[in-house]
Amino acid sequence: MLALQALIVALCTWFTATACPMWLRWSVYFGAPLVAGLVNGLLFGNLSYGLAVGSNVMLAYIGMVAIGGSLPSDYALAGYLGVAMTMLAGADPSVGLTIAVPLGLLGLLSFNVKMSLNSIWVHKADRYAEEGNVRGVAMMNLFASQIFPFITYAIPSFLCVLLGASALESLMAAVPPQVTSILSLAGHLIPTLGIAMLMNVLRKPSLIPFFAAGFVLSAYLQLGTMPIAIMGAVAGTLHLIYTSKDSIGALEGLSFGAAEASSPDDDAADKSHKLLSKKALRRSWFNWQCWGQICYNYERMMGLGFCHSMAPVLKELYGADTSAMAAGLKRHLAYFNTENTWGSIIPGIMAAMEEERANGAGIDDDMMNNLKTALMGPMAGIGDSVTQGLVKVVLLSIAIGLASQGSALGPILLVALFSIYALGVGYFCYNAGYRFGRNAVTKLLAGGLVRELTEGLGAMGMMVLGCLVATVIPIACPLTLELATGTIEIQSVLDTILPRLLPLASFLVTYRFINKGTKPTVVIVAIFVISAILSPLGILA
Amino acid sequence: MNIVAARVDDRLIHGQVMASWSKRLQLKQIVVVDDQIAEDDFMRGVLAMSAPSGMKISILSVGDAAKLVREDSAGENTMLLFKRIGAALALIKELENSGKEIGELNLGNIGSAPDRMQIAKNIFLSDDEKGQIAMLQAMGVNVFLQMLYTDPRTSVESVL
Repeated sequence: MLALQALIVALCTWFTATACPMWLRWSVYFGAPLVAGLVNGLLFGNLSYGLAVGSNVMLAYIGMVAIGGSLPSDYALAGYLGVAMTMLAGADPSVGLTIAVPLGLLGLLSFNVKMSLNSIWVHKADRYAEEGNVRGVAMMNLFASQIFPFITYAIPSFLCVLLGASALESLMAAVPPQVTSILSLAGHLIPTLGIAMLMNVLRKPSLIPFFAAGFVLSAYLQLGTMPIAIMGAVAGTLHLIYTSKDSIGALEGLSFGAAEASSPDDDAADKSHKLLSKKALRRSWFNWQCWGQICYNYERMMGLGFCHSMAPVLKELYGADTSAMAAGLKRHLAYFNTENTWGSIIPGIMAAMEEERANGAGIDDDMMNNLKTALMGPMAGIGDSVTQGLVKVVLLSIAIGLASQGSALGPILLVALFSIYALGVGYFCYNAGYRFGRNAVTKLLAGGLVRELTEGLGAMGMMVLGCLVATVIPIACPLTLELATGTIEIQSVLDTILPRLLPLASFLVTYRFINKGTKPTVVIVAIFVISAILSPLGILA
Repeated sequence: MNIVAARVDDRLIHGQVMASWSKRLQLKQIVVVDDQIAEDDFMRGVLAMSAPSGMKISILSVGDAAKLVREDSAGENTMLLFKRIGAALALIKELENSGKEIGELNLGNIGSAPDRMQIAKNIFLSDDEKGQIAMLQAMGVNVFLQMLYTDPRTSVESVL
């Protein structure tokens, strides 16, 4: 039984770490602990325990952002393996972080090995490209890319569950209760780190009042994450209406009018004019959003995935012309790295340029490559801010809120909504890129849509953050004072000043250090040291 | 201007990367120095629009940038941003003995290309570029690798 469970955990870890479609990555990888809570809860037959562990572990990672191909911790191992190990050890959910965080840090080894070795397949793909062999290129991207991740993710996870579970269980049983309460306090304090890192991304003076509103609504009225998120959405919209000079004008900038696009009817009349079919474009988009990052590596990053997404386009334009095919594959195997949702605009633009080029327009490899490299930074800028900094935060906060109340709807909603977002934005951007070429980028940026989104979602995100501070840092002061007139509980005195004062104070202290540039790992160590001092003294619990 | 950083990053103004640097260094201005981009209206537009809000962006050729560095007397915190090491070398040469020397150059991200070899996780250099780094070092410029603000600085000697 354990062997089967170990196998499933191992496969989940590997699948989410590298093999899953790119649009699904946002929820199952960046929300790994939460989704793992659901999966492992079902696997080990204790759903509420799984969700409790998952939502606790998730809190440490809610604020982490992966930018420019560097990860602060490996989410797949921290999530699927971390939650499984915590459950098998029968540990308290708040101790889960102590088990998951080290696994996540070790997981960076798995990540780095994959990122370094996967360039081997890119070089093999280079050779297939020379021959104009589309199939070979696709095989390298889809299957060869999974060899090293399978070794570095699946096998260690399998062995860890199979051999480590009973050892961890007896270890946890042998741990004295004082140590458990220290670990538990640290587990309760670590979410301050995640929230502080997020705050650092979202922070803007104009958005601070929203944070206060979210905190107060939760601390005084005990409203849940969902109602606060809805109020946040309303507040964000109002904030936009009152602050933007010309919000209607900005929205108009978004309407990619049909009149400006070239009319396909005229083109079709000219028989010699090659036009990409809807099917080829859909395939190209689909390849990008599914497999753009499956062979991620330090040398070319998403280069191979980009080439794979261009394959249906090249096939239709050049078909049997092997030398043109080879040249096309080679030019798209270059270094490429962007955010994968908003960045879909770039393969869209490239599809349009390939079409023009096949029709004899004077476009050379350099022009295409220069445009690609020029756009990947700005598009990643938009994507990282909107997807990771805002959408992820809001969706994760709602999902954590639901899961911590024991509802499986949390992780399910996370996967459903994030997938709809990723596929929807990706499809829109790809098509905008194809229809308007490079002008799509100017339209997107000049329309002010992104600024509006950042500001509006930022207001909503800050409200949710305020709510999180009040709900997910469950610390209190157990001290009591013995006076002649009776016993005074310090916590009830604190509550009369401001409910959830201690969570707010601990968050502000962590934020101060993060804002000053202290490294997250240093903060984690400091949290354990502080817990080890305050917990035995009975000051915090 | 008060130059607080000079950085080579071939993705130039890369959203969150730049956002984190600009917050820590309290940047008010980014000067992109590149002869080709300075003449490319489309790229100038994209860069100007993708900058963090409230940030002043200039996109200048090496010559114009040198002039600006020499003459701008305001004290705004500024980052000089290059796509190519060659442009950094050219600017630093122009600024020699001007009283506005640049003492440090950060290599943030330089992607792979056919003639480039990998020297660190996200830094790939051609032989020409290695030569340019040697020239910078000979001029007393401290060249170091650091992608994110929270990453440690690695001296270029230790990886070349």
